[in-house]
Amino acid sequence: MWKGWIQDSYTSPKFHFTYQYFDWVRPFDTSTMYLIVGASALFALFIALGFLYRISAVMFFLSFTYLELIEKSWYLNHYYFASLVAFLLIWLPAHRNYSLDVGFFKKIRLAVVPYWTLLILKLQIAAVYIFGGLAKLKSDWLFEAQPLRIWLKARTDTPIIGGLFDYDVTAYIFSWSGMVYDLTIPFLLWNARTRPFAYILVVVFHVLTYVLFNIGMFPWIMIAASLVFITSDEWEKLLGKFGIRLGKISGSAKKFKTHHMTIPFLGLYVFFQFTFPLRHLLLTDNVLWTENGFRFAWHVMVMEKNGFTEFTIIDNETQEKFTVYPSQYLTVVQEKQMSFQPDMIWQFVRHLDRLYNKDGTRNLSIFVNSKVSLNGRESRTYIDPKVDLLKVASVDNMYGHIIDIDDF
Amino acid sequence: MMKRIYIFLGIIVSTISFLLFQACEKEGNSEFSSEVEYYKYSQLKNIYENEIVPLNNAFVFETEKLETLTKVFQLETTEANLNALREQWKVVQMVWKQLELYDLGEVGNSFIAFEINRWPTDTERIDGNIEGTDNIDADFIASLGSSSKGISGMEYLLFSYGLDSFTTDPDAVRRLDYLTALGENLSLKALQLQELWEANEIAFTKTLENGIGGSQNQVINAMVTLIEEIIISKLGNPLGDSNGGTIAPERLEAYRSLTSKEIIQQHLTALERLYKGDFLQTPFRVGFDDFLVLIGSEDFSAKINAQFKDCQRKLDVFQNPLATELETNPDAVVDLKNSFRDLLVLIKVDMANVLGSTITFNDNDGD
Repeated sequence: MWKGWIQDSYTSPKFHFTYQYFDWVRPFDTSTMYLIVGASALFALFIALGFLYRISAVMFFLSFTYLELIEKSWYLNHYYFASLVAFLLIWLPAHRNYSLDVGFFKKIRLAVVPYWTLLILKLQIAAVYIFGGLAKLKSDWLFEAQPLRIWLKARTDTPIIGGLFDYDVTAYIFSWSGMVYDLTIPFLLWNARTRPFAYILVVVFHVLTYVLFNIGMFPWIMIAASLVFITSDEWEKLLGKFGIRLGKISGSAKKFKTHHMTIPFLGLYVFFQFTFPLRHLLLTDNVLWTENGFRFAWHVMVMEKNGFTEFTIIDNETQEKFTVYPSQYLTVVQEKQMSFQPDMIWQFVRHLDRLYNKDGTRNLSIFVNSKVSLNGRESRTYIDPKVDLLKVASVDNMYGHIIDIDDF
Repeated sequence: MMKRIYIFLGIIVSTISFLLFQACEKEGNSEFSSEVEYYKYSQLKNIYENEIVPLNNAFVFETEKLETLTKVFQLETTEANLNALREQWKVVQMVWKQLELYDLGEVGNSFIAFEINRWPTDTERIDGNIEGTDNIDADFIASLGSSSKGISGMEYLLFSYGLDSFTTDPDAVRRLDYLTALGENLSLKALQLQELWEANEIAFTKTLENGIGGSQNQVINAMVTLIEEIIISKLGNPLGDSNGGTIAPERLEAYRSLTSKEIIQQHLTALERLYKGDFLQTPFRVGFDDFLVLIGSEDFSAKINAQFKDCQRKLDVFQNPLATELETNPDAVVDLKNSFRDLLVLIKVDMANVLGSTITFNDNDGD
């Protein structure tokens, strides 16, 4: 809020890249947006305190997801993860002990919760790691150590270990160990014998990513979320070392009643979570280049991608020709993200059409000259420059006009 | 078993704490953790000491000379003095067009570049100020918006009309006052710019981090911004990019003084020197080209060098002022613009990709 991100992200841009099927999500005026962001933070705090938990969980999920859906160029995997966890919290009895609510409503206190309430969170975390690991099973990551080779060389200012980043072998070690970590950590956390080591690994891995890369809250979210793998017995033992006793809960006979629709519903949810991230396998041969099925699939930190776009607008009646550079209409973040994402280029073309054809009477064609560089490769033409993008009827058809990358 | 876990945990926690402590303390750390860091520091020091400082010195010197000549012209309003003033204005413009590239960091945040040269100048407002009744002095000029003063404002007064606008015109005296006050203001701004840079020397040369605040990233962003401005405003708009294709020479920067081509030449020279670190006084010439070689991108480094030469070739085609070339040889101007566009792609896309430069923030999630 104090960095001015609310204006920068929501209210200053004249145009927003909305999500497919969510084009109706629009920002309010600046003061209302401040209110919503503030309220969202407050609801998150209420969830943490277990205060008016259920309503807070619903409100946090709605407000946070609303904020996320306004602008596609701000998409981050951990925002998506926060929305998913917020959604799950709505259905979980996470406030039925050690919460403020229990102080107000003593009858809601529970001694035990059904296993599915923990399982669903564990599966959600496992999905992030497993798909994050699968996304690394690519030649760039494994055999070229990209993008880590680029990123580590850019982080040689890191104290103590920075000197190691001069060497390519360091990037290979980080790439392979990162991949192995992602693919194994859920299982190591799940297994009681390996759990202590696994959690230490979680802390080490995420602190290292925090120190090395600019990835915001993600490391802290994952470190905190992974605590859910620790069982109640282990918590008792662990806290006992520090002289803290949780004590027996009165009314321990009370049990949580699972609604008969809950398990089928959660089954569907898990099915979705474990299949949706794989949709790119049906949609494209190279998800990093085309980005078809890239979002909501835990492709975390797998590419360094930069682009350039220049649009030519031709009035087919008058033969007037305009050249448009996106920086004239978009924020720096919007321009950067759009330059290598076909669906956003398609959206921007529609925006240009609205600007240059306000009364709808002009017969325009819009072409793009786009260059993209991926993981240290030389830049090359991205979208077919001969295609009139106004003739591309659907955003999904846009992916058919990407020029293939041959050295992947 | 548990004991081993605790020992392992202790080592890990200590290491992390130390790393975090070091990370928090890295501001002001003068040690170089690697060869790359040493190169980065050497490059920034080279830019500051061998380009920014000499250019600032030259700018202060030339603007003072310009101020003196305006005062001479005010006392002796002759054709010879007007010509001398015009020539000196061109010298100032040429120095500024090299220095303008370094509008970054705290210097950029001060918006002093606008005060020095904002174009297009607001001719109606300047005429209004001259025709008005306000006392024209340093305070009055300081109170004006940037589009009615600075280098562009002086160009309007010096090159739009002849000597009679300063002698026989009804507003001649006030026009002379205005011109003199602009010269004085510009000279003052040059000194302020120099002071700003001196105050920011350490911040510039020692901020080696890779984030958006890192000096090397700021320099890359400054290169990108300037090349985009050349493409969009200095060539694109006059070519008719924004009006449907109608050539508009009056949209060239400094078209009144017919120095538009020279301005682009100065930008190109400054950009190439910055890329190569090849400043006149430099014994140790560390530039982006060396940096790219250091990280194993020799071919790419050579490609950017070749693109600079291509831009120069396209600019050398022009024998006449750019305003004339726009009318008579627009295809060659388009070629020049396209050459700058290719240079932009190499720096904004390829170089940023190879160096992992952060052009925006919070985008490392790879999504």
